Amino acid sequence: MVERKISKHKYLLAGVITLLIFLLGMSLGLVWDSKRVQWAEKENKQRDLDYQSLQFQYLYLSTLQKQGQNETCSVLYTTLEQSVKDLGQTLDALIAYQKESSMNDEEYRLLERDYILDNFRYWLFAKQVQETCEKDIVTILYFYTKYDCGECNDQGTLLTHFKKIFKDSLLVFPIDTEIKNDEISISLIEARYNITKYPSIVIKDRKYEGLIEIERLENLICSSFKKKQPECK
Amino acid sequence: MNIIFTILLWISYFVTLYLGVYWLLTYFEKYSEFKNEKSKIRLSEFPYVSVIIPTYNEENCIKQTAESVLALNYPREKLELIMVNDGSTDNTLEVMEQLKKRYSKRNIRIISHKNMGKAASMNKAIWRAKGEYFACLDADSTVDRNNLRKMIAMFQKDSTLAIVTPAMKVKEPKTWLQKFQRLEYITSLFFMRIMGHFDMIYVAPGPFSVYKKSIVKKLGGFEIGNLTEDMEIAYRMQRHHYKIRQCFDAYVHTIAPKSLRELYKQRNRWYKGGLINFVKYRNIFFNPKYGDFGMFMMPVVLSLYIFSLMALGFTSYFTINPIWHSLRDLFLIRFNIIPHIKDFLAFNFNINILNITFSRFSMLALILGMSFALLYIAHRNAKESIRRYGVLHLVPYTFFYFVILSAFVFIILTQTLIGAKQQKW
Repeated sequence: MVERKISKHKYLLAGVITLLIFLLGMSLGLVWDSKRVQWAEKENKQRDLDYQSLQFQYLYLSTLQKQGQNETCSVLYTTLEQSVKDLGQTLDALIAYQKESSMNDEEYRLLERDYILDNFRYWLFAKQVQETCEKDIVTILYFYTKYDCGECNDQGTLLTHFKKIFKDSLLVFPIDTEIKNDEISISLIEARYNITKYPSIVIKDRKYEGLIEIERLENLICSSFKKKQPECK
Repeated sequence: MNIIFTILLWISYFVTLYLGVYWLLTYFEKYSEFKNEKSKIRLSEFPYVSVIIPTYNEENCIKQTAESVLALNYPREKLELIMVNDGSTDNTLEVMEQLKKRYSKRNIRIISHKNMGKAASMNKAIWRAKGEYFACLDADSTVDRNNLRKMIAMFQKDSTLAIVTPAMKVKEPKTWLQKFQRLEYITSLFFMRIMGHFDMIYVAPGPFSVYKKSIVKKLGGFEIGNLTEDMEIAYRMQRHHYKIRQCFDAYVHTIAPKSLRELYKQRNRWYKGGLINFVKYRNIFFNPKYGDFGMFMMPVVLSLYIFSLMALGFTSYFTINPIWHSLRDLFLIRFNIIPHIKDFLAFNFNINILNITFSRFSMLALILGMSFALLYIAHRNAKESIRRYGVLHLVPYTFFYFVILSAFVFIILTQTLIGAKQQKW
């Protein structure tokens, strides 16, 4: 017959060791998480510098350098395009990160405000470049909300799709309206275009509310170019 | 992410880690014992042993199985082979008779009756068996020559033993599915060895478990109609505080299912039977009277079902959800994926540090590390090399095989709850 015993000490020891390993795993995770915030802050600083550089280039272009404008425009536009691309990617990642991580709301909102302000600045700058350099590009302001808005996800997918088609000729500036109470400039631009629902997009100073299906969006983008693009039917 | 989902995910991380740590601790507690453990082949006396092979439509493998029994390194006059034909509809009976004729000088008996199920076949054979001990051998398995000596030696060393279980291995795995099962069996035989040392074994595998006949008869034989009678008898032994041990190097080689369909059929019997027996012996669950078996093993058995369902839920969340969204996106862009392919080929990946969830990643890395440590130790325990059949299959084994098994658990539990058809053999 079996002599039964309960290995209480072993259960306890296993529990303590597990807890230690668990805490080690959590700590490693937290350390890396903090690195992510540091990374996001570094990206912010980098973008601020990029923006200042762009402003300087623009000033130089519009005041001193009248000759050789095409070359300067080309450099200016390449920098702008890369900055907007990085900005969009970082914003997407930031949203995904906030959903997954333990980052507190306040920290997140500050970072997101920064990104949204950058978006507005770059949007305005792109409009200026469009005029000064006579660049045939289309800019889209995209207003969305992350919560309870299935159509916003769909619109985001479609805008990404057209970004892949038109590449540098299409600049999309996503604006998360979730933080409009914190960032007054969102309400300001919304009022300017009379945005009442999400998703909404602004192309060539005209707003389009609700989900814009692929065919209509393609028409809108194609008709906004000065010249017919090879990607347009 | 949903808060309940997150909590469940972290609980599952913790419990998985806990179980891993527990098994490793238990292994190291008995490490010197395991290291010095040697099976005895020389016996002081040879008790009479009956080997029973219950069969149902096994015309293709009964010959090989029976011959592996006849080749056992055990005195001929002390060994009898009983082949039971449980109403086979193929030529199993004819093959048995040919074998009996061919080995006419050996103690071979054939019992043939209409289909009654494995447990009834076993009982019929036990009641007629002459042996002080009997072994049950599934027709799809073969045994190593010295197994019986090693196992009988354990009975002689410890007279309180009721069952000695073998160390099951997969026979010559060819397909990836069989290679997955080989890894699974090797891990299981390692756990069974530990469980034996702490009186926690809850299944006496069909292939070549050796029983003390008097105890089995006293307990009324195998339960007729039970889907996993080998598990039920082990639970019953535990309920009556009988001792079950594993003979760590008595290797039995069994043919593992080749296809998913075959595997499902096998697991349907195991998992459904396991659940039925768990419910039947629920009074042992968290019952301190049964020591570690009641306080640890029974909750672990239940947790295997719960965690299978949870694992399936997590996998679905992390795979089906994105797949569904991708399909939806594809429809939105009217399946025009050319720009996306071009973008992909241009290596325009958005690799961003913010996209990596480090807390989850580090926890998974710890669990994976521990699982591989256990797998490595299990291979050493089984005297096998982890690379014997290549290493490529280790990746899908780690990430997909248990998802398949979890899906089986889900289907089987659902079927059980809605009362699907009964399964025999």
